[in-house]
Amino acid sequence: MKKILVWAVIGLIMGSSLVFAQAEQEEARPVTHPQLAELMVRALGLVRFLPNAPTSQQMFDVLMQNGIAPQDGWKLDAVVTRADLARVLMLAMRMEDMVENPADPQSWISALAELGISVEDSLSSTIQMIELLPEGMGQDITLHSTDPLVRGMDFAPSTVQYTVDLNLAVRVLSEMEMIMGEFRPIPPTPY
Amino acid sequence: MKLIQTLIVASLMFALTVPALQAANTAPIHLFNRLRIGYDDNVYQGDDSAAHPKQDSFRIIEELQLMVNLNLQRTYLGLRYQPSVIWYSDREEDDIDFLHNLDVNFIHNFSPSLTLSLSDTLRYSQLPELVDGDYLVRSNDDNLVNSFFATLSYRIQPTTRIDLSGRSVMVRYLNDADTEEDNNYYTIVGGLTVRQQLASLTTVNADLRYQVVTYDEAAVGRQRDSESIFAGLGLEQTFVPQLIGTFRAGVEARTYELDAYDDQTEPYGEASLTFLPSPSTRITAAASYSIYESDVANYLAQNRTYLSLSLAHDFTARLSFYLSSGFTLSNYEADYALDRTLEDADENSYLVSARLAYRVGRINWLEAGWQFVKLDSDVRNRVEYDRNRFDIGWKVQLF
Repeated sequence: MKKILVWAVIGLIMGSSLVFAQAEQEEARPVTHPQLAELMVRALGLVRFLPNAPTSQQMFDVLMQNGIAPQDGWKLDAVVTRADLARVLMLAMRMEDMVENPADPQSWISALAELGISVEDSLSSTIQMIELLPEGMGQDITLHSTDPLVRGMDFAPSTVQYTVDLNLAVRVLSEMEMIMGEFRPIPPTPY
Repeated sequence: MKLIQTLIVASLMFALTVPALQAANTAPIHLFNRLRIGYDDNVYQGDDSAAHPKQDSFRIIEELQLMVNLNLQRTYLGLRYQPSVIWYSDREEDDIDFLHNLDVNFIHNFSPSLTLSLSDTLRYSQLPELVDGDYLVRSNDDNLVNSFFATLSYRIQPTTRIDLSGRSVMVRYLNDADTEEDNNYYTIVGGLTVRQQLASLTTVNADLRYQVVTYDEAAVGRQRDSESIFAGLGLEQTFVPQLIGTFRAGVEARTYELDAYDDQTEPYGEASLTFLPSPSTRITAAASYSIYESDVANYLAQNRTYLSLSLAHDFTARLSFYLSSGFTLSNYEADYALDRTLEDADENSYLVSARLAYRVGRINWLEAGWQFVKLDSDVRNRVEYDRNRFDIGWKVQLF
């Protein structure tokens, strides 16, 4: 059984190489907002704020929580324009104060060009210029989630103190809460 | 044979990560240091009574954060390791806590339609026994918690996706005392989710979950083992470009291992909203209601209502302000108490946090924070408390 699993994984990985090689030979298609959001979330190190296998809208959400969105917002079927890309990259780099006229899409493109980043390059190489957000944040979805695949698991219960739900203290707003373990409940003292 | 399998897996991981390192234009490894000095007005979380007086203390928190972010066309690997040490100036009997947090995320796209996502969260806490006079504030609470999550996603059509998921959670106290072993447990969850994009702004989903909770070291009569089935529907909606929302609702049917307790069937629901009234201001709100694991040892479960509201505002590109609040109402029913003398009880917990962060240069930040926590409880023997903590700190990106 283990052998089958190991060979299945190897087969999938080798097969995926072929599939992608074929895909790369296909005519280049326009990049969509979900594709851009996925690239941005990974490049900025925001994956840790998302559930496993997040949806496009969950990725839009965490980017919005970090103040990163195109002029007209994120849409599931929209194609990325040069202005969208420039705006999203400038916001991701926290360089929005360099933009002379934020209402003008061309102004975002120009500001990005001044940083030596061209939106004419391939999308993936452009996004590689972005570093992860040192102050990245995201609402801790494990706090309010009712999904057993997502929600935070309570630590051991207590009847004494240190009893506030651990997760309550872990609200991520840039790691505002101090240290997670301090709120871990303690075992009950004998009655 | 095991060695061969290990080598194959190691080779595959190596083959996946080396190209990522080569392809990354920016450094994939970053190290941050964060040092904070603070004041805590209620270290033991006492209620200021003669039995449980408040004890204040200064404290120093030193925390490293190592982050690895490998991003290839088909593969992503994110790793975050954060060791912390907290020292208290006035805390008996031990003045230091050590905490270790490790988060790993791995994503591989086998094809444009097939993706494997793995994540693991490991927490190791060294929390020594605390005694205040005749009162045991905390027993030796060293513990290890691990959560592993795997999802295989297959896109049947551009607008339709199926997720097959599994999760395991393990909680282990490292103290061999019976009271600790009663609280050791593991959880296994399996799930199936079907998502359908309806338009450019809407996605709906249906999900099915099966969960087993096992307190494998609990004494006879104290096993809170249970099995649950969840069935629900969800909606993700972009209302306007600045407002996005997520909703989920369904029913959970829970069966307890102990025959003395009736099955529980309860609805659950959750909602969250993210709103950007301006490019520099973000507001998030969330609410949920469900059966939840109990915070109190002598109850099998709680019905938990949770509300939160958070605000982030950038005064300038360098100066940011964050405000967060949370409220939890825990309802415990006597029908699900291990100790039959216990009655119905409610607990309210409140959290308010504020933080101001100033980016001095490209790699330095100064910050100031305040946190308030309050617990109101009807649960017998519970000590109610409120606690304020203030901190000022310096964070630097070392590389």
